[in-house]
Amino acid sequence: MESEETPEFGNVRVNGEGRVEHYDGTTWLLYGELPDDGPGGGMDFRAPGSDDPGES
Amino acid sequence: MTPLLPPSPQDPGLQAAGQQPAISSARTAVTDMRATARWTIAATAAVGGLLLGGVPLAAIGKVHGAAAITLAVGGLVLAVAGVVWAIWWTGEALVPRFVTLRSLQDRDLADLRTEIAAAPEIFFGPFGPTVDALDTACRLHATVAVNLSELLVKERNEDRHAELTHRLSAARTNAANAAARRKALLDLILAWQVRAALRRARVQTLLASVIIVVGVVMFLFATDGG
Repeated sequence: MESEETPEFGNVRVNGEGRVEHYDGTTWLLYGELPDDGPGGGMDFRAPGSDDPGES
Repeated sequence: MTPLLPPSPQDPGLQAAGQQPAISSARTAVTDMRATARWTIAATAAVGGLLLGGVPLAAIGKVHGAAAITLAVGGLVLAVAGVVWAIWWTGEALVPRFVTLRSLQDRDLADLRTEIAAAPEIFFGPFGPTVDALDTACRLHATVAVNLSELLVKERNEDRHAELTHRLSAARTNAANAAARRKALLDLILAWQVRAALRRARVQTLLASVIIVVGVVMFLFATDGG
């Protein structure tokens, strides 16, 4: 009786169409990979006049 | 369900963890700034040693009378205080720091908060737009990965098994990426804290230099013919 239980944050289930859904704390949503180019894409530490990150 | 991410040798996030230029450059920046602090302390100590060791020894025979001795001692104490003051403040940049995401609210990090507010996607990627959202995303994707692992063990249907396997891979990638974002932000916060400490130290070292000079001048005035 999954539909009668109160879902917890991070719970997962397979819906009627065979797709995985997760509970984000408020609602059930389809689950998928989030595109992320990593923390290096757009922020960096550079010494003045340097081309190389972190060079001093 | 336990919100822990099970270890996986094929974890794409672990593979990604070794290729984060922002993290390495922030850490490199901290190393560089701390090297600057060490150099400043060494230089201050060397100047202090020269002023307080060499000058008094050379001129001690030229100090006569109670007033002159008082002035000389006062000058030396002032100069020593200046050296200690500079080393104390510069040493703040070398002190290990306890950094959490909450540290972002520190007064010294106002300009970093402004940078983040102007372009949160740069700092949080798809896990933003706030620090709290990033923290929640870390817990969410790690928990989803654990729960998918448990479902996968029990699943016998081939199609559902394939779907769960695919989503588990996505969950592990998401969890690792979110954790990498959080780690990068912590490194950035630390770098910003050290930078602020070093900037304060520069101002205080300048002030200390003035105090040292005043102390030396007082000592020289106390000597005969100073």
